Amino acid sequence: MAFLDIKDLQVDYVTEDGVVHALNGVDLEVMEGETLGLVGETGAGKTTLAKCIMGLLPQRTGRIRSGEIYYDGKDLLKMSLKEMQKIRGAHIAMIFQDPMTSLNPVLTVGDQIAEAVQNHENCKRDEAMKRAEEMLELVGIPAERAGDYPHQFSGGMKQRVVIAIALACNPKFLIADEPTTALDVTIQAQVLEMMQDLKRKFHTSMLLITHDLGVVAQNCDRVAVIYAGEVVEYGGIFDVFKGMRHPYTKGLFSSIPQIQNEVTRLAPIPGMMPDPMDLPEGCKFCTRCQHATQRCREEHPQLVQVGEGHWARCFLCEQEGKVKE
Amino acid sequence: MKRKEREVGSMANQALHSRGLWADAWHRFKKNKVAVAGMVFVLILVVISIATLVIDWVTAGEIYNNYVTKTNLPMKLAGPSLEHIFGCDEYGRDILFRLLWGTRYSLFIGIVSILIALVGGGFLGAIAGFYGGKVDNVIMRVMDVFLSIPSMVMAIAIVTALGNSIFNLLLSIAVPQIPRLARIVRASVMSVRDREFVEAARAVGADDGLIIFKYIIPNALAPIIVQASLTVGSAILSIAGLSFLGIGVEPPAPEWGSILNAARTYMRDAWHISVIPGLMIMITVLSLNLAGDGLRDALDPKMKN
Repeated sequence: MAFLDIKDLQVDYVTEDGVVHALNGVDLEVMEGETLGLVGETGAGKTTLAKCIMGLLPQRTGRIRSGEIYYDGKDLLKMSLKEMQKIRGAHIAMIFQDPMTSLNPVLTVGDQIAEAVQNHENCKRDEAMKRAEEMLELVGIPAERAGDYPHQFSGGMKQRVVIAIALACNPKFLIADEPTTALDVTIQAQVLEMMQDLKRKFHTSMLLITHDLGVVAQNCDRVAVIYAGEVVEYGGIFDVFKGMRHPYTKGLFSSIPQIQNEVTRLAPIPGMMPDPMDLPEGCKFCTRCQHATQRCREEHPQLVQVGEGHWARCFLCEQEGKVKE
Repeated sequence: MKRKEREVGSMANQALHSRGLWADAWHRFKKNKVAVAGMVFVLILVVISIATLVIDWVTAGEIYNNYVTKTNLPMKLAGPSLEHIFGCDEYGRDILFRLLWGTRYSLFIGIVSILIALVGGGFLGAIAGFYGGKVDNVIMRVMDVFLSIPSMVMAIAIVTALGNSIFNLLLSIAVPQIPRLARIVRASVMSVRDREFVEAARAVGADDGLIIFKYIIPNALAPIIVQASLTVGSAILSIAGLSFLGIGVEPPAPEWGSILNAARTYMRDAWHISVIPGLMIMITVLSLNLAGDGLRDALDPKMKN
């Protein structure tokens, strides 16, 4: 059984200019202990999905049109605020994109980790502080620095602190929203390696959101490609990387340089992502797809199984397997 | 030499690690000499207020009756001398004594009324800023109604409606300040509310109370403190204004503003009666502002190094 099961999730943002369709029927499942990569370009709905799982959609604008998110057999979207507060941090934790802004500037890092512990565990301040120091050591920061403020840390260390906060209560599921985007490449590698270690140590499942395919290749067991609020392809990491089926996934791969081939110009996907307020009726990718036919513009394709646990949302694959209901 | 360096280093380290937010703020505050001077002056005034209260209590008001309020017409408008360092007022009362005994009114009313306004305005502003939407609209429109009434007029209305007492005086100075502080608190809460670390705190299961008190208020505090310390100054001036209209502190109580207002008539003949209390008010307000400014800097951990 899936550990986290997202079913037909549709999310809108209601703004003054119109309704933004951020997620349009996302189905995903995360198995216990696995890392699922979520790849897509800016504005595809990756962060919306993460916030939706955490129950942190902006209250004023975010609206869930339909869908369920089952965690441990219970629908997170139907939970009360109190129940959700118990889940956040203790069961599901999130690592934010930008470590520079996701720490409270007026609290020491030790206090902030201790706070996360005290939210869920009924323990004294000293015990929480001790735990905070252990967590810091765990992410490779000397425990003596628990009394320092966030601005006294470098970017990479701040991200380690953010990770320490997320892991402070031993969550079973970790959402990492572009955890390394704000870091330079060497620190990025260190942080990712550390996250893998910790994941193995605590047996945590993870949803790794990124737009870096290299990061996905290195860290994930399975990968889902998301485009305009829709999963267009998902499957095992080897299936998708070696035998991608959806034209969008192919486009993504051809827009990164390959070390074996010498090219003077990369082949990016032409055009822009469709305006999320005014999405095409049929396939969301039809405006940029070189294989698009009349049918693509009129009919919305379903996910088709193209291999063992490998699905793609494209009419081109229709003959190959059964359509997901 | 080396050992000494190491000792100093480890001391600095210890100092860095064993303090809370306020102890840390105090450490930074100490470095700002001007702010410390302001704070010291305010503390001296506090000590004077308490000391004069104790003296009154011990001597059963004897000094108050004989030196502070008793008229002594031969010394009328006498200039500064060795016997009366700051000279005497229009009834021959020693100005130094009157200033010392008057400290309690200005300081007590000024600080307590702003505390009342800060609690009221802070609460309303924080609720409005944090929850936004309808709550915000209702609270802030009521505040706008209050803002449309000039503060002096409202103070007069409150005192005349409720009667002349110290508590009503406090209220009359506090109430007009509530909407002003509420606006500032609201604006600074709003600027912090949507920052990512607040969301991050939510993501580890923090509830609204914790988020407001540990994440939003400490980050929104700087402009509020400065505004509050500036407002104490204007509260002291309001008391003076109300005393002038005869509905503040009643004579012969030696409130600074009333001394100043009485001195107005004699400004050409006896400069010292108006200049000295005026200077006192000015230095007090200045000290409060400097201390408030220093406090704001001290509460920002980024100013640490």
